[in-house]
Amino acid sequence: MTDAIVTRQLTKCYNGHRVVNGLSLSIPRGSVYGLLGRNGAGKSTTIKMLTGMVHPDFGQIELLGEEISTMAPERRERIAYIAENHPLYRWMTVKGAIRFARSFYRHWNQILVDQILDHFEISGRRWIGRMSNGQRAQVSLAIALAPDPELLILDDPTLGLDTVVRRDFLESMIQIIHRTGRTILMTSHILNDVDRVADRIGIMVNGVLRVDCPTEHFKDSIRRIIIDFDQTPPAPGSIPGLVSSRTIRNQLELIIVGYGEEHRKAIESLSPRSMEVIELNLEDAFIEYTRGPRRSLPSFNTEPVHA
Amino acid sequence: MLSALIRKELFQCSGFCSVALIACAALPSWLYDPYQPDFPPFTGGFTLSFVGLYAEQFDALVANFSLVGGVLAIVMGLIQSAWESVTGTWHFLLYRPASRQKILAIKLVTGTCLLLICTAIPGLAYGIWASTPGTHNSPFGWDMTLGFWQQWLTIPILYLAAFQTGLLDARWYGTRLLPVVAAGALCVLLAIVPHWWFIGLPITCVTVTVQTLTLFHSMQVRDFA
Repeated sequence: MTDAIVTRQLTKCYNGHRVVNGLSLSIPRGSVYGLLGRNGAGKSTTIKMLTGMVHPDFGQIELLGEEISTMAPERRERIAYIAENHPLYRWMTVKGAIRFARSFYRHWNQILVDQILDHFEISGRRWIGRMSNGQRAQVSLAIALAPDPELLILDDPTLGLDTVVRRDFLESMIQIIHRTGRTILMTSHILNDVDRVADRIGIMVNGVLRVDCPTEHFKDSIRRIIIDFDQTPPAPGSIPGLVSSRTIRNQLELIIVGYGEEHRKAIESLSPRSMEVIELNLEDAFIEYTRGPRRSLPSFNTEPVHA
Repeated sequence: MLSALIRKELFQCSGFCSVALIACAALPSWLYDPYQPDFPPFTGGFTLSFVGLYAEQFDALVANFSLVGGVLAIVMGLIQSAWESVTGTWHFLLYRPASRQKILAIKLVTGTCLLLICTAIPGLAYGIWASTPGTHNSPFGWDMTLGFWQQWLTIPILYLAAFQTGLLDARWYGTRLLPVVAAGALCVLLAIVPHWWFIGLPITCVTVTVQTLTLFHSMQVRDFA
């Protein structure tokens, strides 16, 4: 079976600056992929290229086995897209927005739409303009899922939602995913959300995909090492996989990708008083990884190699 | 899908169209001159205000119409293009399984029709009033309103230019507004050109065709970032 999303050397420049630089990505069918990165990393541009909103300067995109540049508009029925901020016509009622969207699709699961609206307690008579961000997100989700798409592309779907609505939105999404085995690509700045739903992540740094691996592998690969010395710590030198180092009095803190025996020996050769290896959650691992010197960040896109 | 898109455009422009209808319907009444002795006194009410309008004031009506119609055309073009950008709804609209060309075509056809209907009102109102026996003491023929209809036919030039402005992804306001400025200059030129039907009309037709083709091209290549 072909991958749900394949990009080859995808590149986009704005004003001479490469916003997305040679992105090659494969997302297997049935997976939930979290595309992460700091502001301006190129996530949204990537999503917009995947949805055809932005034309790439170079490279190829295949969605569900079809080249996007030659894909007929009708084929987009199989691919749902929820744009950032959930743009809907504010002068429409919920029912009106659904009726409008429905007219474009051959297959439309109105029962599912009604179930989702009922679950979120949204009346069809409400004006979109008078709804909160969260409620608009819920209407967008209902509209996106109604044509029963095989692939969902979500651009920061939980942006601007409060904690409870966000959790509710994600729970519903997880239920729907598990029920049907769809492929989902989502971007988010809320790493806990991604940690909850994504089985694979990609991290973009300055338009380059630096990480592409299972979520657990990424978390397992990055370690914070706190080393105590009796005096001012020595410079860490060239340790393979070193992302960043900080010195606080007699303490040296290292962030290392792919921590293993080799690293342990290198650290022990510095004659520390004590050392502690700390596992990180996705958010901490992401912060530590992307806070390092961006150009020389160690990349990894392999399957798990246990430390 | 077509009817849904047309309905959407009609609803989206309905607020503006109401304003446009009022502006266009009120246009002849702006020319009412209560001191004109040849006409019955103004007794209040919109319909009666027409009686103050007489043939010699027709030029003034056309001049006012050029201004009001031009503004309405620009606003209509911007509502249908730039407003979608401002509210971010291009992403919702263009991701529906329909081609960009189809969506644009429906927008343009609906917008042009609405605009032409709204802006035809002053000319029709004047013509109907002037052709009604007993309303004024001078002969009238519909060909006397040709000046108005010449102006009316140039309205789509400004509308399409404003639409193009709304679609442009330029960095500077100057660059962005270039189509409207150019179209405005052309409309002024078309208003004074002699032998309008032989020179003005072909120029109008060619301009509208070029503008439409440019819009379709812009829509196809534009990045909706």
